[in-house]
Amino acid sequence: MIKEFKIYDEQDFPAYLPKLNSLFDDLFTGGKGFRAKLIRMMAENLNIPDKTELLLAQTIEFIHNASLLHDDLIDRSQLRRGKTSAWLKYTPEYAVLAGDYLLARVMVNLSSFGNIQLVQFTSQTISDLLEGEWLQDSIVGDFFVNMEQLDRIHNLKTASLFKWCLRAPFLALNKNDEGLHHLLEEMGTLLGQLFQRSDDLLDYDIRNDEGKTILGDLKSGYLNSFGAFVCQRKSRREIDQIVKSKDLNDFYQNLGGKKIFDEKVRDFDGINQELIQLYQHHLESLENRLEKSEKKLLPMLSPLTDILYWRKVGAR
Amino acid sequence: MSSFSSERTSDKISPMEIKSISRGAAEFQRYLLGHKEDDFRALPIRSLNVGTDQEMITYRIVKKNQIHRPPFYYLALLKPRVLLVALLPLFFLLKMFLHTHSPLPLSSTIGAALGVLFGVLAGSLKNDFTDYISGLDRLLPEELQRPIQKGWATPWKVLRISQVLLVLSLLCAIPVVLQFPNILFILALGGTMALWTQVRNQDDFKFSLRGEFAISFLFGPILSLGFWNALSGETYRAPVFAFGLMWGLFVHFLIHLQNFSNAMLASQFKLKNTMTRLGFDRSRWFLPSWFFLCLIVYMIFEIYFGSVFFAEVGAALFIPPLIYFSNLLRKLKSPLSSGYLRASQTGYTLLLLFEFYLFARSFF
Repeated sequence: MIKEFKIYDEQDFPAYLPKLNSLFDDLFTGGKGFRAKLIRMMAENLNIPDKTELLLAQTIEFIHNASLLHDDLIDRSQLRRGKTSAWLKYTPEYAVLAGDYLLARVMVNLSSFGNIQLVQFTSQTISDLLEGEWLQDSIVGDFFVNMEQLDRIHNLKTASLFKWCLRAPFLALNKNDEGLHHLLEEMGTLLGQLFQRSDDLLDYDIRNDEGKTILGDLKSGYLNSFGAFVCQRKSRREIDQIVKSKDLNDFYQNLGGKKIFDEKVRDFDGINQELIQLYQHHLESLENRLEKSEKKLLPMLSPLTDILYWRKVGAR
Repeated sequence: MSSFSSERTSDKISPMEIKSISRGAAEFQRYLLGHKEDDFRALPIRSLNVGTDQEMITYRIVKKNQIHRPPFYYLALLKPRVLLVALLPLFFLLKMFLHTHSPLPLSSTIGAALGVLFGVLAGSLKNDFTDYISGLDRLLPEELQRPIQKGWATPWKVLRISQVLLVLSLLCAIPVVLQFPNILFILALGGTMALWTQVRNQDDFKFSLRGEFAISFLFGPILSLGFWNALSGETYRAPVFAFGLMWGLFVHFLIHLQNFSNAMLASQFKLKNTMTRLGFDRSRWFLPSWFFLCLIVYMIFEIYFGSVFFAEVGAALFIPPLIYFSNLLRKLKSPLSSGYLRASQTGYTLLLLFEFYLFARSFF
C-alpha cells in the first residue's frame, strides 16, 4: 500500500502572492495524483531516499498541473476536477503565469538536487509536452486525422509524463544504463498510449465510472483516438455525418446502430490488448536489466495496464 | 451509466506471439533478414535504440498464410513511381533520336533500356533493404510502409532480387559498351556516383543535400547522356544535356516531395535534408516554387530546343494545378493535419500529369 503524502508545502510558494497560493490550492485538491503515486511505487521498490522521492513526486505533479492550467486555457475548458477552471476564476493571465511558475519551480528544485541527467531529461519532457500541445491544437476541427497521427501527439503529450515516471527514479539513483532507459521509455510510451485511449473511450461512455462529459471531445472539435478508429475506412461524407452527432444515440445511428458501435469497441479493445501484451512482454525483458533488489518492482508494474486501460480500480 | 462497464475482460482476445531480439543475440541477423521457419514470418512491430549496439527489435510472429498479400504485390516492390522517372526520359530521347537520325541501333538501344530498367530496379530494392536494416523504414507509419515491413517479402529475398537485377543490368550493358566504347566514360561517372550513394547510404547519405543532388544528377544528365550515347554514339549533345538537367530538376521535386511526406519521421531521426532544414512552414511554399522553377526550365528548354508553342501549352496546362497544389499546402496547419497526405498525393499527381504530358509531347 502506498502511503499518502502532501505534494507541496506552503513555503514552496511565496506567501506574498496569496492569489497564486489560492490558485494552487484549488488546482491540487481533487486530483487523483496518479503520477505521484507511480513515482512513490517506483521509489519504494528502488529504495530511494524519502527526500528524493518527494522531489520526484513534486516534480511530476508540478509539470502535470502546469500542463493542465495551460491546457484548460487553450481548450477553453470551463471545469477542472469539478471546479471552475483557473483561467476563468483567476483570469487567463494568472493561469499562464501560474503554469509557468510551476515549471520554473521544477527547474529550481531539480537543479538544487544537482543531477544534470535528470534536469536534462525533465527539460526534454516539458519540451515534448508543449510540442504535443501545440500539435494537438493544430488539428482541432480536423476530423479526418488517423490514429497514427493522434498517437504521435499522445506520445508527446500524454506518454511523456509516464516515461518520466518510469525513468526519473533510475536517473535519480545515477543508473544511466542506456538499454534500461530505452526499455522504460518504450513501456512509458505504451502506458501513455493506453491511458489516453482509455480516456478517449470515456468520451463515448465506455467504462466511464468517472462521469466524464459524453462526446465532450467531439463537440470541442477534437476527434479522439476512438473517434478516429471508428471513422477508419469511412468516406468523408460518412465522417462528416458521424462527427455532427448531437448525442450518443445519434452517434450510434450514424455509425449504423448500437450493435456496430459495440463491435467497434471490441475491436478497439482488441488492438489495445495487443499493446498490453507488448507492455507485458517488455516487462519480461526488464527483468534481465534489473538488479536483484529491484526485481520486486516487476509485480508492481504489471497491473498498471489494468488500471490505466481497463480502469480496474481493484488493481490499484 | 457506462454502457460497457462490465466489459473489462482482457482474456477474450487471443494473445499474439511476440519475440524481442537484441543486436548482440546470435539470431539477430537471422530474424532481421527474415530467415524464419518456412511457415512463419517475423514482422517488426517495435524497434528500440535503432542503429546502435543496444538495438532491440520486437517482432510479431505470424503464420505466412495470415499475411494478406494483394494479388499484384510485386508491383509495390517495383515502385512504378521510380520506374516512370527513369523510363520516361528514355522514351523522350528515343523519339528525339528517331526525329533526326536513322537507323536505330537495335542491340545497343535495347541493351541500354533494359540495363537502365534493371539497374534502377536493383537500386530501388537495395534502397528498400538498406532502409529496413538501418531501421528507418521500420518506423514508418502504416500508410507509408513498404512490402518488407508488411511481410509481403523478406528483406533477404529483396536483397537477392536486387543482386540478380544488378547482374542483369551489367550484362545488358555489354553490347552497348562493345558498340560504343566511349560510353564507358559516362558509365564510370554514373557508376561511381551510384556506388558512392550506396556506400554512404549507411550514413543516411540520400537524406543529405549532397545525396539529393547526386540522385537528381544520376536520373537527369547522366541517364540522358548515357542513353543518347547508346543510341547515337555521341558522348555529348547540348539539347540532350539540357533535357537531362531539366529532368533532374523534376526528379529533385520528387525527392523533396518524398522528404516532405516523411518530414516528421526525418526530424525524429535528426536527418538533414532540404525539407527538414527548411521546416514545415517554409517547405509549404518551397515545394510549389520548386515545381514552378521546373516549369520555367522546361519552357526555356522548349524555347531553345523545341517549340514556343509547347512552352506555352506546358505553362497553360500546369500553372492552374500548381496553384491548386500550392493552396492545399498553404491550408495545412501542421505536419499532422489530415490534409498533409492529400497535399503530398496531389504533388505526386502533378508530377505524374507532367510525365504524361511529356510522353504525349514526344510524339510531336
